[in-house]
Amino acid sequence: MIKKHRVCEGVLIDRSRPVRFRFNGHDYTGFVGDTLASALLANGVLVFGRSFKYGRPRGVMTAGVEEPNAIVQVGAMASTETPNVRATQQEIYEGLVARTTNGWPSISFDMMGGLGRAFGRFMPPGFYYKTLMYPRFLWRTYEWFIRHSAGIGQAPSQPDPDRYDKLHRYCDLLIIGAGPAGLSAALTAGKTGARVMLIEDQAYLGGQLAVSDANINKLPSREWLSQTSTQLSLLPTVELLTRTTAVGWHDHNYVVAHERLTDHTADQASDVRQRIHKIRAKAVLLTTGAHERPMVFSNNDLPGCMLASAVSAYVRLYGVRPGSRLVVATSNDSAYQAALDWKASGGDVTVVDARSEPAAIDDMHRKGIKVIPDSVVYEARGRLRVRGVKVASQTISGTLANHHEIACDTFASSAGWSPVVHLASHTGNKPVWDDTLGAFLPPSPPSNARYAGAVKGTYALTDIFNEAQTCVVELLKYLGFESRAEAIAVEAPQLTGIPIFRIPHEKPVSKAPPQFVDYQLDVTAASIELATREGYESVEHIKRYTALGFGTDQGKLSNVNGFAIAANALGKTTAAVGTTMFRPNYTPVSFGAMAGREANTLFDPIRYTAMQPWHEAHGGLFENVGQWKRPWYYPQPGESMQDTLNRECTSVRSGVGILDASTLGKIDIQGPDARVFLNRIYTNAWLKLGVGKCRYGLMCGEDGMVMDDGVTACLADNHFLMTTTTGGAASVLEWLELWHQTEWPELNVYFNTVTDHWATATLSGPKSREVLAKLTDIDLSANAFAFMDWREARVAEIPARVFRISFTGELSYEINVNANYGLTLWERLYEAGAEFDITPYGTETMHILRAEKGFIIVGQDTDGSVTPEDLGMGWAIANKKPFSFIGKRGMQREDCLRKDRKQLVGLLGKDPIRVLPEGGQIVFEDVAKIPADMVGHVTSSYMSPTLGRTFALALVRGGLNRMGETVQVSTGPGTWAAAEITGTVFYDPDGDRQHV
Amino acid sequence: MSDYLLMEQMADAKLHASPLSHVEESTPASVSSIVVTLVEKLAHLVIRGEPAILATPVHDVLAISLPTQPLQAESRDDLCIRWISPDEWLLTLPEQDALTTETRLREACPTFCALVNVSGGQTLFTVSGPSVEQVLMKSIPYDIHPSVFPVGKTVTVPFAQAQCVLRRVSTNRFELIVRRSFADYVWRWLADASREFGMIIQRV
Repeated sequence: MIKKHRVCEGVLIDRSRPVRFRFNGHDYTGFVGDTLASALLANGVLVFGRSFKYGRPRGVMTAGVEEPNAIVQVGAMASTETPNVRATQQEIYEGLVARTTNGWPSISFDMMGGLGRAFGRFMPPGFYYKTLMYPRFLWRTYEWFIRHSAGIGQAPSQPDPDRYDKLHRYCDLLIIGAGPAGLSAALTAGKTGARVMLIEDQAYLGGQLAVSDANINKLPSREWLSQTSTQLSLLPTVELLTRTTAVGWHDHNYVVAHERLTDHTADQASDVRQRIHKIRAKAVLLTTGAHERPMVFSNNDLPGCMLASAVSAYVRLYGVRPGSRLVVATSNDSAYQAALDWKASGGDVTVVDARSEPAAIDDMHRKGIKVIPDSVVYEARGRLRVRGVKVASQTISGTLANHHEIACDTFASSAGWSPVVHLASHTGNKPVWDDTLGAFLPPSPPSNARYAGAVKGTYALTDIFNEAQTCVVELLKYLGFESRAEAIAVEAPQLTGIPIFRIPHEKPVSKAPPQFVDYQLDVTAASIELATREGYESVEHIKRYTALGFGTDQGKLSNVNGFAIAANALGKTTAAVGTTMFRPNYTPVSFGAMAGREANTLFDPIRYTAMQPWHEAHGGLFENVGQWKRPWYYPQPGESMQDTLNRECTSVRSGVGILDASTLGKIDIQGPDARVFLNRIYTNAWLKLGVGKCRYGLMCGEDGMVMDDGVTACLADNHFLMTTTTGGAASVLEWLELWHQTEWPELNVYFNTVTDHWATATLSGPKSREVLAKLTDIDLSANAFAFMDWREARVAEIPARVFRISFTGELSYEINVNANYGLTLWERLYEAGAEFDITPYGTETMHILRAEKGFIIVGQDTDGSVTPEDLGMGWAIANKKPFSFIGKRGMQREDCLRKDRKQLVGLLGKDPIRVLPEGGQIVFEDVAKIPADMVGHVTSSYMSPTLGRTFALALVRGGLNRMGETVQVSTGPGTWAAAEITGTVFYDPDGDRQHV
Repeated sequence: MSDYLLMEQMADAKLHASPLSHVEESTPASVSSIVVTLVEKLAHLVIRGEPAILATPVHDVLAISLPTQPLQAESRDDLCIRWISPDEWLLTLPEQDALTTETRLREACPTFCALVNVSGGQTLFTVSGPSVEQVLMKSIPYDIHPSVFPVGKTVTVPFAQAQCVLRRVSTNRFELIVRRSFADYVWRWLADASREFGMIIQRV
């Protein structure tokens, strides 16, 4: 087989290096350099899959990125499965495994294929909407079948073992597309020393030049390409990336490119498989070329029907001639190259040209190629492969005459070229129709970008080079580089052509065999016309109704034909109909590449305190608090979580516990106006706080709602240390900077985060003084070092700041040291506490202990709609301060003064064992009323070993005036638990224990 | 003087544990490897104030000029002062000199400035090797090409989803300063991004 179709030397393949691969369970051999498409064609495989809707056999159409049919699933393992790979770009490697994408439930029993063949005529656009709606009770069944037969390709079922990179790239000039325009421009730019990136979607350079007979600077194009490639590699500021697709061009020349590093070498990469290049370019030159358009005629989807340029590519690049008798149908000169290449490889060829006087006709006849002018191919015949084509001449009125048939086994068509305008339109500008060229051209570029070559509808090689040189010199000038356009001498035939969009059939379009426009999603000319008859006029609506351009190929081959057919059916010009919106990405990008390295344990930063090694070594379980890992609780063997919490709580209340409080936000505040600033930021008074003292403060937004709280210590007259909640650290610092920089720049004060600098170990419990006394010389007596004092000290030989503040209601010392000594401090405290049975406790116990005392947690007991008064914390508002404070006016709004606002209260469930659900909605009385009159919710709820029962905090409408009343708390759908409203302080209401 | 708290914050070296103390030193893998050098025993001092007020005291105390041009750094021996923002600088110096330097700067400063010891809050390491730019390209959304990022340039930039102060020390050597709590994340990211080149860990 392989000898039959491998007819000549292909410039991209190495015939001394065979490669074995597997497709649909069969083993084949190709050569290094082959694509899956070229290797299978060489092996005589023509059917690559079945079509999505009608299950028609489909073969390869193209030799590049625009391929709609030869879409395969690649991967040897469940973890390396990659769906929707274009066989025309997938290079083969030893051991490659690929299979047909479509064909559920199995390739042999193709249900949709059967349905499509049998009922294709009855499956117009909107088929599912129109048919499967009734009877309604069958919808579940319909849906199951639709979901199992819809979609293209299968997602891998196992985690991806490969690695991916995202690179931040910067350059002066980004050139997209390494065809003649891109290559010559890169050479000119590279010589100036500008930083140039040249990226190419294919594995090889040259674009159409790779299959051209032109001479450039008196060199055959292949030699010019290789010479240019060498020259570029010697320029130190030029970077050339092949197998790299620019998939999105965003604002400000931010271009995203997708590079495949190992997809052509192995099933699983040894290192990085793919890369995303996030390129910020000062200037962009778009040289993306053009895609050839196929002709739209009956049965144009039969395997063996290809683009003319694809036939050239397979013969010249891969040495593959997929048949022996070729018919080329064209309306332009470029397709003659396919005829010449086919003939040169020993095949038989006939050209059918829609034009009456093709320029090349005499030359072709001399070379033994028959040209039939003034004629079109209107139908292909065959079942699993094209066997012949029906040809007729087209009369002036558009009808067909002189019907006859030509036998063939391969068919190539060219209806013209469509510039690859996708990237140019990504920022929202629509392409512009050009009637002369019969093509959509890119919208005018921004000042720091240019388009050159076929993407701009410039097809003659001489013009392409000239345009590229003009553009690159302009861009280099914009970038501040002096350059000179290179003169490039070209010997190549001039190419002309007329655009053609649909070939009429003897029968009306609705009765004729299907004329496919979008191959991947089985959209026909008839279905587009039907859509227009059913009232769809906007091309965006026609697209959605028919699915034109919806496939993984995004209509690269089909859209322009589709727009033109729609325009004709609507009686409008193609310019008036326009295009659908072009959106990134130009080609599908794997999720792996999008995720890059931000997966698994690098998905999000994990922040650790200095004591983390100890927590891990002592069995701590962790809770995520923002990005921090905080010890949650420390279970001992055999303990349930509640057992652990009971033990930890009891130890703190009766002995001593130790908590890692390092994550609390800490802000160092210095300046002569620090005190004044604090007075404005906090609701309470700060002017008289003495050195060595601490004070609790509430911070509100301008709306008067509580946004953060914490203790701030006066370190020296002009020097304070503010603490914030763990989650509020960054936002509070920003808040302080915002007010300082925008409202009160006259205040001399600076804020610096010291959250990470200070490690904090909190000793809490009646025995904490005894533990600390073992490690420090300072006087810890209640008179010398009172509650809400702080002292500088050496603790365990480490310079420390000790704060006598408490979040548990017990005697507590928060010991802060340079975090480099935090682990040692913790270890020494733990050793010193051993004789007192010191117990490490985590955030859960901390929450229970603070809630027993009615201490709030901002963000748990508050939600941004709660004022200090609502919390019963009016004592923390100093309305008599000389300067207003943030939130003062907000909290005096009429609504904030209502007496029946939701207020923080305690709840004691009638059932002392049951923990009320946090978030549970509360009603006062009638639980049966619908809709329920919801009057609040439970904010914090725990089992307390100290109280010997459960308890909760809740926000309840007018709750402060409802002490002792019974409310109902929703515990689930239709179930309720009764609870009594109480004060918020459940333990040691006078605060004696923290003052000892 | 009593307006601001000045405090010794250094303890005996054997009590010290840097945020990357769990990272083990490793031996050379290959010449192409990325070399990470951890510099764990440094004092980090944040200096805030008006350049006009700080220039003379900084010069008098440190014998180094205050970089007033954005994104610049000045260094001498084991001192380095980096421009962070129009009113912020980051000084690194030998650990044992922190309190003396802070005190002398405080005394020399005629009017208001802020000095904050953040030695425990961040850590410094250098990354070098022939492929160092490649590794940083995977991590930092900033152009580090030598033509725009010459030796001495200092920027505060995102590092993956954390942040770092980045300075080019020499052609193929960069200094990174990251916050303590993010150090392990940055470290694991760097190790992963360097995998294709190999990695060597050193301490000084």
